[in-house]
Amino acid sequence: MTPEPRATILIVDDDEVDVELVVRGLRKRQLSFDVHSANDGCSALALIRSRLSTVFCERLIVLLDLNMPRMNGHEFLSEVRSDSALQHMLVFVLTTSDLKSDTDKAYDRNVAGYFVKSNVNGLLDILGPFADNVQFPVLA
Amino acid sequence: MAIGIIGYSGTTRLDGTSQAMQRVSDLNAVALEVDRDVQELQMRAAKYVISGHDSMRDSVLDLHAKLVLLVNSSITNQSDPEMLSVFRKISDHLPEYRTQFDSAIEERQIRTSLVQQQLPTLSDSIGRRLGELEQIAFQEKQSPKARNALLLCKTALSRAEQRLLRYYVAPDSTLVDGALEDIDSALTHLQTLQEYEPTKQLCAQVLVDIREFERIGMRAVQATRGYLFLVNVVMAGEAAEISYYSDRLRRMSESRRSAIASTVQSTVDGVRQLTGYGIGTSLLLAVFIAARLVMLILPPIQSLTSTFQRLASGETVVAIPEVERNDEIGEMARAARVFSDQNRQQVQLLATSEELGRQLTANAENLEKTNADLNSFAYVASHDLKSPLRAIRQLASWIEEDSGHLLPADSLKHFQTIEARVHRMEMLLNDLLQYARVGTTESEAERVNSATLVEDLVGLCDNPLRVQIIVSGSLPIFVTIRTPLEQVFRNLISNAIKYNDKGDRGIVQISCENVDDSFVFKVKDNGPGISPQHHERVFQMYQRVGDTNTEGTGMGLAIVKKQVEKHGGRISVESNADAGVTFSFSWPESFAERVAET
Repeated sequence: MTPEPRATILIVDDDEVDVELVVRGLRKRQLSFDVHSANDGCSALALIRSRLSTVFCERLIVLLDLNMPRMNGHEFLSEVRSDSALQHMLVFVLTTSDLKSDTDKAYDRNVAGYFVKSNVNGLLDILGPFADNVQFPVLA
Repeated sequence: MAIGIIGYSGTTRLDGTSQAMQRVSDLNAVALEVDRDVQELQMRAAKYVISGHDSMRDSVLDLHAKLVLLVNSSITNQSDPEMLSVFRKISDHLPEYRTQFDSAIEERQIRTSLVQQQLPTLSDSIGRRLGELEQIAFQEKQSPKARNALLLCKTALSRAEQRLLRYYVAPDSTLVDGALEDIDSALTHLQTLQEYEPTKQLCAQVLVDIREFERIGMRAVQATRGYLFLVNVVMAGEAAEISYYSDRLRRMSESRRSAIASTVQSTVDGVRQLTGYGIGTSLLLAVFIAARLVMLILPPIQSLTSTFQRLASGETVVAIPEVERNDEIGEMARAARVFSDQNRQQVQLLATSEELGRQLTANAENLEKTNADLNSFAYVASHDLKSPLRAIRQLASWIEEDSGHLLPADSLKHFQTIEARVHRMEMLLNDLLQYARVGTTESEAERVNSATLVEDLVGLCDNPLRVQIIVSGSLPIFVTIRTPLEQVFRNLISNAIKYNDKGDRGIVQISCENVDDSFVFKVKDNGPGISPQHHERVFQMYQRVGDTNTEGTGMGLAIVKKQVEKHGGRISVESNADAGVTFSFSWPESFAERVAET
């Protein structure tokens, strides 16, 4: 029997290589997360809403890209923060953009942290200790 | 002028009438004088006959002569026939008066001689003889009757003489009657004495004397009565005649005067009326002329005024009114034309500058669009180009990681080359992004200590060969935007270190001097230098003139130049005398001021 996963990681990114980058990074660090991915905001939302009140949502960390087709990261955040069930969700932004406008906009929507992809290792390094120590919000 | 003519004719007429008036008034004066002189003449004549003095007689004669002269001269000067006839009548009476006065003088002189010489002589003679008679009678011891008669005779004679003398002073006929009675009485008494022989002859002589006394006394009375009649009746009549005529003269002159006065009045009225008409006409004329003038001047002035107002508001007026006039209005109009020409030039200049402005705006818009395009390109470059590159690099590294042990050595080397080229491509893209973003992401001006800024940069620079970095002199502390200055210094210093070929003897010297309103920073190295022919090229994009083995994109100096110029400075490079080059760039002393200026 596999040990209880520390948390659920949902990677929202249309770039498979970037998803793979995170997956490989987590695997390399031997972090036992339950890793899922969605290739845009819409499918991410659909997935989360279908898994509400399950283990999936108990300890959920979303790694969000901003530039995506259909529903981009900002639109996703906007939707999440206006949904009473999802509004406290833990979201890290992981994107190629280092534009101030993007960081400002993201922090306005109360993201837990903003990381650029060139520094993906920085995010992955803290993710383990973070998940071990953080008090997760209740989504319902 | 009309009033002048009226006034002139009026005064001329008044002048004529005033001359006539003068003549009338002269005539009146003559008449008055004649009258007064006649009265005076009569008075003097009366005085003369009373006193009998020659001086009085002469004064009468003088006055008469003067009167004759006056009347004669009046006759000569008089042209009015009516007046002339009156003067002639006066003139006729004057000789008659003189004749009468001459008679009166004669009578008066007779009386004087009678009363003052003959009568006293006779009286004395009578008195002496009576005295003799008395003596005789006293000697002869005549009867008292005789002596009484003599006394009575003497008394009667004395009384008669007194009465006559009183008459001569104040003629009263009762006195003459009394005197005659006294003389008769004296004669009667004397006759009684004749009866006596011794006195008979003497008495007879006295009798003759008394009769003579009576005759002379009566003659004197007669003379007195004569001249009194002459003066008081005849001459007074003549004087009255003259007075009457002089009065007539006065009345005539009065009527003449009133006639003239009415003429004058009518003239004055006429003149007044005419003057009134004249003034009225003048007023009408003045109003007409004023209206003409107003019509002549006001509309042109008004149109000029509105022209000037239009000109003042910057309009160009093609048709300036009244330009052809030769007066001051014409001058004003010509001035307005100059004004208008200037306005037209100004309008043209304005149009030209507006056109230029439009072009500039269009250019600026184009430039902005280009910038926007460039920005969106930069964004595309930063994301859409970098992502696949990074993915390629990741994938290559993963293949190496996962299957490296299965690949031949050549393939592994190729994978490394792929990674190196992708890395270079990423650097190029990063620099391109930086270049594109120069000036688009501005932050707030802040207080910057350029010394510490340089010090921090030097600390961060990759300096494996330990090139010495020297700050000569002091670097300023001033207000500016930190990031671009930092980027300029970073690129210049890192270039100077990177390309230095002197190892640990390499020196990079940083200094600053104040020129005008700018700081001129210099970054001097003792590296390989740059051939002067490449000095221009070093600032162009993707141009590399240094050692191509050294890692670089050829964008560093292009970014530096763009940043410096974006912030109002200039950058240049020059070769040092010994070795290496010096990059000099100016940077505004006060960023705030530059912002305020632009």
